[in-house]
Parts: sequence; C-alpha cells; structure tokens
Amino acid sequence: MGERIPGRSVESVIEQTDLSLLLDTSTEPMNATPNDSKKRIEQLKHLQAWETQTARLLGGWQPAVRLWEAKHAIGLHLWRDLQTAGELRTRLWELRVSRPDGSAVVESVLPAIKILACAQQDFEFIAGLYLGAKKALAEAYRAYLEETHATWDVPSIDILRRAAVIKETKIEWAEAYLAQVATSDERRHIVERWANYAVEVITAAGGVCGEDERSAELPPPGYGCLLPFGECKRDDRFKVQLQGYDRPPIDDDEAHTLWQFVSYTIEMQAAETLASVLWEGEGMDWEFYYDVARHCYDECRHSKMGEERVRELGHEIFEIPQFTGNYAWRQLYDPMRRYGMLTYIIEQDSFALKHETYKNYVKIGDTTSAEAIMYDIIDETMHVRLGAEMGAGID
Amino acid sequence: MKPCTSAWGQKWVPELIKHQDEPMSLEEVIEDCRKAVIENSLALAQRAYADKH
Repeated sequence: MGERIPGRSVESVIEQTDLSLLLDTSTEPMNATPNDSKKRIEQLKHLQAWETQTARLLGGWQPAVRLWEAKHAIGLHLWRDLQTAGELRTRLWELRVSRPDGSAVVESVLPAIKILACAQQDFEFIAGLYLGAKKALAEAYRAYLEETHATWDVPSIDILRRAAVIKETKIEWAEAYLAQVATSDERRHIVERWANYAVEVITAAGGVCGEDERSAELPPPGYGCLLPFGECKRDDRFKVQLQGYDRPPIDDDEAHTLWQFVSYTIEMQAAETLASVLWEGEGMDWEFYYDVARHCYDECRHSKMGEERVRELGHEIFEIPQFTGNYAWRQLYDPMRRYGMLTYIIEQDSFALKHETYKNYVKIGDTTSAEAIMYDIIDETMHVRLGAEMGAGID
Repeated sequence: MKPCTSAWGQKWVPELIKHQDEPMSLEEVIEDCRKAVIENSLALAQRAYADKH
C-alpha cells in the first residue's frame, strides 16, 4: 500500500500529476489540435521520404568520394538513413498509413534530390547534403519533439529522438571532413555556396516536412548532373591499377594470406557498384533500397576487415596498388545486370574459395585470419539461409 | 541454371527485370551476367570461378 497524503487520496494525486512526469520524457505536452495526428502523419511521410532519397543520393556519390575514410563512413551513413526511414515507416504503419510513398511526397522530394545531385566535387556534394539536407532533418526532428504531444505520440518520440542524435552526429562528421578537405579559400567558398544553395532548394521544395509553401520552380543548379559515375575514385595516398592480382598457391601461406586480405580491401568496388545501383534504381519498392543499402554497408565492412588484417600483417593498404577496373567495366551494364553479376555470379561463386581458405587457416593455426573469414561466411550464410527459406516451394 | 543462394539476388533481380522492361528471361539474364564476368572481370579468381559453373 502506498503512503497516504493527509487529506488527499493517492488517486487524486495521480489524477493531478502531469503524465509526462510519470513517463520518462523531457518533452512537455503541447496543445494538440484536433487535427494534430493528420499533421504529424504528413510530417512523418515526408521525413521518411527525405531519409530514403538522401540515402539513394549518398549511394550515387559514394563511388566518386575520394577520401577513403569518407567512402567508408558514407557506406554506414546510407544504411543508417534507411534504418531511420524504416523506423518512421513502421510508426506510420501504426498510425494506419500502410503506403507512405504517395506521389505527392515523391514529387516534392525527388526534384530537390536531383538538384542536390548536381554538385561537381565530392566535398561540395557533402556540404550540400549534410549541412543542407541533414541539418534540415535534424532541426525538423527537434521541432517535432518540441511540438508533439508527449503522451499521445510517445512511440514517435522514441524514434525521432534517436534519429535526431544520429543526424547530429553525421553533421559533426561532415564538419570534420570538410575541415580536412576544404583547406583553401576557394574550396571553403564552394562549400559555403553549395550548402547555402542546398538550403534554398529545400526551402523552395516546401521543407523536409512538406509543410511550407512550395515554389513553382526550384532554383536551378547551374551545373549538369555527373551521376552515375563511370569510374570510382581513390585519394592521393593510393596507387591505382586496372588489373587485379593472380592468386598465389595456397601453400604459400604468407603470400596467399596477404593476397586474400588485399582482395577484401578491394571489395570496396562491390560496395561502390551497389551504391550506384541504389541511386539508379529509381522507382523501386522501398524494401529494395533497404536491402541494397545493407548489402552496400556489408561490403564496406568486408573491405575494412581486409584493411585491418593487412595492417596486422605488417603492411599499409596504400603500399599495395588498388585496382578499380571491375567497378568501371560493370558500369557499362545496366543496374539490373550489375546487381545480377554481384548476387548470382560473383558472391555465389566465391563461397568455394572462402571455405577452402578458412579450412587452410585452421589447419596452419592462423586463427585470426580464420575468424575474419568466418565473419564474412556468416554474413553470406545468413543470405543463404534466407535464400533457402525463400526458395522453398519455388521450382 | 544453378539455383541462386543469395536472398537478395533471388528477391530483386526478377523485380529489376520487370522494372527495366527487360525482354530476356531470368535464366537468360543470369547467363548474360556470367558471360560478362568471364569476359570482363579483372580479378582472375573471379573469372575462374565464374567459368567453372
């Protein structure tokens, strides 16, 4: 039994207590209007569309981003964007919106995205996307959290708090990247100009919540669009060559291990091909973007795994020329064939090699290399299991 | 045609075929992809494995 307050019942105290104090939330309830849910739904529909389309745009540019660390970061960021979009879509489903991709949303978001694609340099693109679009998203999430009802809309609050923090972290990343890359007055001017222009475009498109008045025409970029990129870029630390490496004999432990983990670093080309497919697959179901973004990020992780192991073996990846020709020739094919080559041919056929080398590492006692390969096999095995389940009953 | 073990390939290549109005069947597209890898890949191991199947 609870302690009684003299002269007042426990029930009356609870009735008079602001419910937000009982819920672990710092947001006070605001004056919600009868149409509040409709307004929130429209905001969430636009926000998820901006998350999805900015992830696609990141994919389009990822092959042309030169700084290696930034290329890796973008692989993670585009996956995080699609995860946020997925959470927003789940919330919309709870709010009885099963199809949030109405043409109005797509038509208000896509034209702005296509203009932001028209940056001419990687750092310029990142300035526009992160200091323009992502900053607008972060501000929109904070504004939503301030305005929405702290009790009625708690599930949205949980999602948007997390989304705001993720966005703010990415903006900090972009600021650090730009400080590293935009080191001349000319470059700083380009960054400032394109970031300001991105804000103008987003404002003219009605804002990331789609609530503001939309201009009849978006301000033109003055540039043509460079996407899709025919070549993937590497920064100046790398030596680049078109041709790949011959596989050394498996019993040449040192040479074969180095070859295998250098090959993993080169999986960045697979990530870049997937990133380009993410951009070029316009008009696909949303789940396609979610799956391709995860796949792209997985390939970035495999590349990172290779980089770390190469370093443990006593080398730096910059000492060993990267080859980029596989991305280049794949770009000569349409996105469907590029995706088919990666999933039906290249990944599938590499299983035998991975299993053979895993067994060899176990045999020679190279536990670290064996474990690294095992993580890759686990990623792929998850896909095999899913594939087998999906394939059941299909002739 | 060897069955695809990639859930993502199995799920999305047929959808991309429809999306692009591709006249070839899935089987023909996959053989086209295999041929492209064998003829163009600059990774010798990739070419060798594609050629074995």
